[in-house]
Amino acid sequence: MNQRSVTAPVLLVEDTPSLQIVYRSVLTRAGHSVLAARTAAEALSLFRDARPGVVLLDLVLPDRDGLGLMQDMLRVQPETRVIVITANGSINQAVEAMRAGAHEFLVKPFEEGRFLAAVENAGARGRRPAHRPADPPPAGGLFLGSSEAMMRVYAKIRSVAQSMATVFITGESGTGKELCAQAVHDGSARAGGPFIALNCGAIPSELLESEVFGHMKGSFTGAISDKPGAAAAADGGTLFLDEICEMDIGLQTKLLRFLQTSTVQPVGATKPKKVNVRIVCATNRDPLEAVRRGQFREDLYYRLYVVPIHMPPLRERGEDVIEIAEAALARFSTEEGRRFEGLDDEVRALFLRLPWPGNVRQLLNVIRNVVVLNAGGLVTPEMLQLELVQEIEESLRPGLPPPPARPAEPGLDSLVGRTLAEIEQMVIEATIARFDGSVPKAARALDVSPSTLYRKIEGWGARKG
Amino acid sequence: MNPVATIGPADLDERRLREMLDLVGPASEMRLLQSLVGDLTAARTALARALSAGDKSAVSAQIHVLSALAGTFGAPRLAAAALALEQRSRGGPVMTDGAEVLAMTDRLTEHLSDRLRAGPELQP
Repeated sequence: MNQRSVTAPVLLVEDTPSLQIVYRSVLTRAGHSVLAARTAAEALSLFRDARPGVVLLDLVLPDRDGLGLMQDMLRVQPETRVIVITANGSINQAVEAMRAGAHEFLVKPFEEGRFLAAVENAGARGRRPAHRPADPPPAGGLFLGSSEAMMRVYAKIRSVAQSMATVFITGESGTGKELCAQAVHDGSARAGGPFIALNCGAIPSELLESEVFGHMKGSFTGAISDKPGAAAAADGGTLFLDEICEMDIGLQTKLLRFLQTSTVQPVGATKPKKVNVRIVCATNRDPLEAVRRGQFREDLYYRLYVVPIHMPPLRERGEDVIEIAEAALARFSTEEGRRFEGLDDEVRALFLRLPWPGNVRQLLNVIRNVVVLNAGGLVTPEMLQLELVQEIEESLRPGLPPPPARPAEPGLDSLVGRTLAEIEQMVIEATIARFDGSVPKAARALDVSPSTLYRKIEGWGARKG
Repeated sequence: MNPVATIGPADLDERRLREMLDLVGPASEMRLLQSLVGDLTAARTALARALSAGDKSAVSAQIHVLSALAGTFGAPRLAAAALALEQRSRGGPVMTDGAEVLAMTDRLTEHLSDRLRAGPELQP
């Protein structure tokens, strides 16, 4: 399997020598050919000579502002994908970079896997002069699979990508809804514009309006500068609203108005502004059921539910589980510097039998775990998390065993003074511990999907890291 | 990936530093350490100069370098202190109180210089 999709050299523009050494090593180890520059002048000269498909660009350079350099590069070769890297993670700066034509925005320090994924992702789509409707969706981000179910998804993406129609993606958590949205964007005439993703369920409702529509300086306490918001940042591109059914009902009214008028009015602004945005949204819930329950506006539902795409759960994708597992194994092995040869027959059979309640995200976690904790060779059942094997056994048994005897409950007093996020983490960790480390069992007890717990655990890890 | 932080002297996460050194391989790890010490020293000198001159944009540029170095090589407290200094310098009066960041940078540079002097055979 060919892991590397970038054939042209990657141009790395970083003026701090030690960081340049590290980034160059990461890229070289992943098989990329790298050209490196420390100044804007040197970078532009190398760019003109080598015409790289992907540029990694530090925004702060000794001789010139990085954004200006990026614009010069894009004038010379518009199809180049520029990944902007900076230590300043302000949304304003990200928006400015995306508007100026950046393909992606990375904030230092970044995890090596994230860094390589960004390069692979940009490279897989770089140097494509024009959209070809017959192209399959890009392989970057492990959006893979040859099952009939996925073939139907690819066909739908191809047929809808070129239109302006709103796409509504449904599917269980972890099935790859954001990758599907990205594929719609990449296949569209807006592929050169920004792709802005916003998780409506992850942002507190009081901040969501400002995140979507922006705000003006001084419009509320803490609004220390103007902020354009995701809808304006996506101007000329695609706005992906994930977990749309979690959006506050009040804000749904504003979203509806935005869809009807194509104008945004940031909090505190006196005049609306016209934007040109294609909306793709997604949910892991049944949107019609959310309408019936009064949690989702019916008129908004009908405006958004124009072209539905359903992402199938992994358990219904047959051999795709093996294809994805092997692709992930190769990618993670490269990232972690390991030498894995593939899955042994027993693991393949196990993977095909598993119900994968956390879908592709769960599979990727399992493979990541194997790669991190083992040196290499063929993946055998002994390398798999014990919980995974237990899950297989359990999936073959009907019914859920009674939970273990409950230890004394902690008093509410011990929770008072903690943040809601801390309390949630405590409860989740205690539930997982009660079920001997089994995330799927804990998820069932908490009445959430296992992928929700995997995502939260991943989030805690990222915060600690 | 959820490595347990192993914060050592100079507020340095030794595991993270080791990961970075392993990334470039044994043949280049001394070169990387040398380069890191050089980058920290240069950024520290330029930051001190910018702070005394009250040059906000130069402060911001050097904080950019320092926080990226600190975050990448395993000094999260320095990275956080540097970013906090930048926040304060953006919103308030011209900064002259970067002493904490400068002192943390000095401790880290000194620690790394000691390791450099000890040579590769003494690396953990």
